[in-house]
Amino acid sequence: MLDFVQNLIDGLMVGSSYALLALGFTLIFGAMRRLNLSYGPSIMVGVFAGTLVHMQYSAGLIAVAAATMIGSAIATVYVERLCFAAVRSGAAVASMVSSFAVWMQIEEAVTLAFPRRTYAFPALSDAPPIYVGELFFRIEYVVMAIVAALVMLVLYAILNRTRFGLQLRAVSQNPVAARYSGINIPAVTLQAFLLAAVIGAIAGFLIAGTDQQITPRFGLWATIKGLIAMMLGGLGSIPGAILGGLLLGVVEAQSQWYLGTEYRDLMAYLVLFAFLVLRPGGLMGTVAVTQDREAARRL
Amino acid sequence: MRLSIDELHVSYGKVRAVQGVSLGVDTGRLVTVIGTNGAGKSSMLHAVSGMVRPTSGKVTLDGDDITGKPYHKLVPRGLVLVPEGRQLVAGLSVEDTLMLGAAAARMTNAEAHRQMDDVLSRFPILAERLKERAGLLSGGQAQMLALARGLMSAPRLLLLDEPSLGLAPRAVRDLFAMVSELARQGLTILMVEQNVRQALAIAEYGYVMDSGRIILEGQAGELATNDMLVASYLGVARDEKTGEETA
Repeated sequence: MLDFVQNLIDGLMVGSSYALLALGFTLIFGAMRRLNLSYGPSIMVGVFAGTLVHMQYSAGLIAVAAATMIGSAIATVYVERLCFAAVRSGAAVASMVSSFAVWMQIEEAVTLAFPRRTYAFPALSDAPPIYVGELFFRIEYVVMAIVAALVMLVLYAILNRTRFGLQLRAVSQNPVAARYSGINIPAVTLQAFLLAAVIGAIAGFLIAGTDQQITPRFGLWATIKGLIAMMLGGLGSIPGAILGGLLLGVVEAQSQWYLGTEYRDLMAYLVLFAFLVLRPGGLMGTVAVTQDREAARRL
Repeated sequence: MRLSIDELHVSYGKVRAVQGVSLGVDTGRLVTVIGTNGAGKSSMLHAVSGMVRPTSGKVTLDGDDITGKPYHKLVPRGLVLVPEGRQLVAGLSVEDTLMLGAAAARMTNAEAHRQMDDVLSRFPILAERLKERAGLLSGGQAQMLALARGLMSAPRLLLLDEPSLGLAPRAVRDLFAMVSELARQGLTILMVEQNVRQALAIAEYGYVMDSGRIILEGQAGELATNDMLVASYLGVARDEKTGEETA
């Protein structure tokens, strides 16, 4: 039982970073109804920018975090212009395929620029774990969970208290009506990509700072974790993305402990598969979908 | 704000929806464009408001060429479209929907709240339902919300696309009373309508559109008694000898 609780706590804390990745995917999906497969690789560019600043100037955590965000934002704008803004109306598949192509391009470019593959990333904290009774808490995980929770609060405020948030919600729910409401959809879309880039960069910074290293494979890893978490939670749902990320973290932690590391990813895919078959809308998706349909019928 | 449309053409692929329409709306006037479904009225409004790009022709606002400018750039200049079928975001609250109008006109928060007070004083029914989702409003209330969202942008030229479509007779009366009131207060309005009789009753000047062209224009009062119009749109025919209306 103690093991189970310990795994649950670890899973939730690690899952908070998956939740951030899923939120980034969800923001982009909401704005465009398209998947940006290059989301993870764009974050990876940011993390390498952070590593570079760390190695070259032995910069502190704040500077590394800033470099990670800037790198991720630049890579994201590149992807948005090339795969999404250029491929506008109706061609969702073209966007997804081109974002896959750009993913390969980004991974190749980073591999050429950083030929050693594995690079050191500054640790979030080197303090020893703290014990509460028989449970122990890794400081990096605690930092990760706290920062992730703060990011979620800020995101909530942006979506519900700002004009950009209002416009993004309108575009996500009904792009046609949003256009008739006088919203500049291309501008709102680009801003949504940038917001997703910053959130993803924070997730990347937290994860790389916990692992204390980074490889070009991080792009693939982040895309997969974010996509699975988003699908578990329900495509396009903000609370779903958070719940999906946490669920993924817990499933991984439990299966790693009880079944072994080699079963960790397998279990995650199994849970995803079960969801796709039994509850295709995810944890939250179906609710949102039916509510939307209900409201649309009345208009 | 003076709107002038010159030789406007709109095509969707091979379909030529608008074929050389020219018309003008002087500042402070309420002008209506009437015609049957598919006459090209809505396409004309879409081209004027930048929702679609015209194939050719010219649209000017107070003499400035705005042809082909996207809608979101025209709203801050005072051109506001209240689209056919409301086009509300069902999941947003009434308050959020209204704020979209203020945001589109790039108002400051203080301006937006002043505008909100002003608009809500015209629509007490919406003031009572600020937190309600737009999708839960009745048809008449939803049309009022669409109009209110437009007014939140502080329009100087209001384009109304079939505002009475799908409304109950009583809601239609309320709506036209509101439009009439806005016109009396000096707002420039171009209204496209199929509800010919009521549109002509509140408008000062009217154009009749058919198959993408303007086939008739005149003072609204004269159009309302025009024999051809009466026969083809108002659903009544006159007996040629006696001049009396027959059913």
